[in-house]
Amino acid sequence: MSLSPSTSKMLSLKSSDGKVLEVEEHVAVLCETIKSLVEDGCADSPIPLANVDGATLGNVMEWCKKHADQKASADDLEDWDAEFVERDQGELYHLIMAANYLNIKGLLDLICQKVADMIKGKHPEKIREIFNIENDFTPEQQEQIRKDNSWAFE
Amino acid sequence: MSTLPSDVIMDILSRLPVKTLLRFKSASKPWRDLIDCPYFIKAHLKRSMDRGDYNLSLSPKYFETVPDNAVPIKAQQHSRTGALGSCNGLLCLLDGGEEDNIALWNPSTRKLQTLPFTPIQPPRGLTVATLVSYGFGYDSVNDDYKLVRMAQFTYSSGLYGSFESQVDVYSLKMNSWRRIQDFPYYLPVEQVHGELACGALHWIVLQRPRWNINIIVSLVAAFDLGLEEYREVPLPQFLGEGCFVMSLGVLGGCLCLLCHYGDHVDMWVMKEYGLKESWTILSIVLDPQVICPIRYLQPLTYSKNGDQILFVGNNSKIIWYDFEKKKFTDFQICGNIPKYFEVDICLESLVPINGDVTSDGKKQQSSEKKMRKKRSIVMLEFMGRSSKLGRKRSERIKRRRGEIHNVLSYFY
Repeated sequence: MSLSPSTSKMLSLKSSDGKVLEVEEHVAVLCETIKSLVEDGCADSPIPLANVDGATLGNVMEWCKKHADQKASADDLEDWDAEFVERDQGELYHLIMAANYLNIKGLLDLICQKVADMIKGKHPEKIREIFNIENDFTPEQQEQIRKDNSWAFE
Repeated sequence: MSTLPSDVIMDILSRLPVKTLLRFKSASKPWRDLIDCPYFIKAHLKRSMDRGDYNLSLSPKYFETVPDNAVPIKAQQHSRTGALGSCNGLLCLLDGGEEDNIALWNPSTRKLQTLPFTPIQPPRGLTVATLVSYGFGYDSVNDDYKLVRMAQFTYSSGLYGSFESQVDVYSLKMNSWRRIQDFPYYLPVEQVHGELACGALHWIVLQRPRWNINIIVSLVAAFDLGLEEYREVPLPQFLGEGCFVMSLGVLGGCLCLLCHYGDHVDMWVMKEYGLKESWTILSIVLDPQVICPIRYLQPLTYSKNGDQILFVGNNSKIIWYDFEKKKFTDFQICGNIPKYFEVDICLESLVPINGDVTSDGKKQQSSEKKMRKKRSIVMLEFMGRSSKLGRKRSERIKRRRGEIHNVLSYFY
C-alpha cells in the first residue's frame, strides 16, 4: 500500500486519558501498531490507545511528523533528534513505553540510546535507584563481584 | 524506569561499554545474570560491530623499538611476538620463544587465559619446522573460538623439494589442541598469521615449493573454521604487467588481495565471498611526495561515511586514504606508539574466555599478573561510527573527523 502525503487522510487517536488527536495518516503509520490497523481497515473510528497518555502521544506524534517529512535531511534529523531527547527521566520513560507499545523502532532506538548515554559510567547504587532494582546480593557476594572486576570501579 | 519490559532493558544495556556493564553486574542478581548470558553477550557484540567503535591494537614489531614507557621485555630480540589475530573482541597473543607461549585476551573485560602448550612433532628425519604460521577466529557452527597452527617442514631432496605441513587446532571450548589433516599447500614466505574473513582463515600459498616465486602459481587457500576443511579461493583477473608482491587483508568483513607494484597498489576486494566475479579493484597510487615512502599497505577499516579507508603503511604509519580525492592523510595519534608495529582491530565485547565467569578470582588474577610483567601492547581508542546523540555539535564534528585518538598502554 502506498501512503504518500498528498493522498493522506486524517486519523484520530484517543489517548488513555481520553484526549483525541487528529493526525495525518502518513504520519501515524510510522507506528507499526497503527499501520497494521490501517492495513486491516480497522482505523475508521477513533483508535483507542489505552497505554499512552495524551501528553506522551503528542510528543510521539511530533517525532513521527518530523520523521515522516521527506524533505528533512539526515543531518537535520539527527540534530532535531538530539534536541528532542533533552527531557527528564519521567518523560523519557513514558516515551520508551509508548514507542514500545506503538512499535516505532526508530523512536525506541533513539530513546534507548539516550538512556544508555545517561546511565553510562554510573555506579550500581545509582542504577538501582533509577531502575528501582532491589539489591538481592549478600554483602559477601557483593564484595566478591566487585573484587572480580575491581578495575571497572576505578 | 521501574517497569520497563526486560527486552527494553536489554536493548539499553546492549548499548553500553563493557566497563559500565561490569559495574552494573553488582546491581542485582537478575542484572548480573542478564549481562553474563550468552544471548546478551551476542546482542552486545552485534551492536558493537554495527556501531563500528573499534580499538586498534598495536603490537610492537621489534623489541628494540618498544617505547620508553613500556615494561622491559625478557624475550630475545627478533623473536616473534604480538597479536596472531583478533575476533569478536578477543585478541590472540603470541610470546614467541623456544616454546611459543600463547594467550587469549579480552582487553575490554581484561580477562586473560594462557593456552596449554602442545609441542610440534617433526616428521622422521627432521628436527625443526621451517615455518610456523597461526590463525585465529570464530567457528559459528560450533560457537567456538579456534586457533590454528601450521608447522611446515621442507625436505631438501627432489627437484623442487617436498614438504609437509602439520596442522593443529586449539578449541577454546575444549581448551585443548588436536591434530587435523595436513595442509596440502606450501606457504612460500613468512606469514605470521592467516587472515580471517567469512568464517575462514586465508593464506597465500603455492602448490609446491619453488625457487622463483611467480605470481601465476600463487593461490589463496582457505581453512573453514566450522567445517575444518581446506579450499581454494578464486582469484581475480589480474590487470597489467610487471612484478608485484601479493598480500592479504580484510576490509569491512571482505577478503582483500593487495598487489604491491612499488609505485602503486591494486587492492582487490571480494565483495561476495567465494564469487570470482565479485572481485572489485581499487588502484591506489603511492605518492612519494606526500607519504614517503610507503610501499606496503594493509587495510584496517572504512571511515564512517565510507569515503575513506584506514591503512597501515610499512608497519610504521597509520593513514587515511580518501578514494574520491585519491589522497592520503595522517591519522593523528596522541601519545607514544612503537616505531614499527602490527595492527589489529579489536571490538568492545563481553565474550568470555574459558572459565572467566565461573573461575575463582584469585587464579584469574595471578595468571594475569604473570603475563602482565612480560609485554606491553598499545591500544588506540578509535571511534568509527559512534553515536552522535546528546553531544554538542562542535564535539560531534571533532569526533566525526576522528582526528584525536587516545593511546592506552596495556601490559600483558
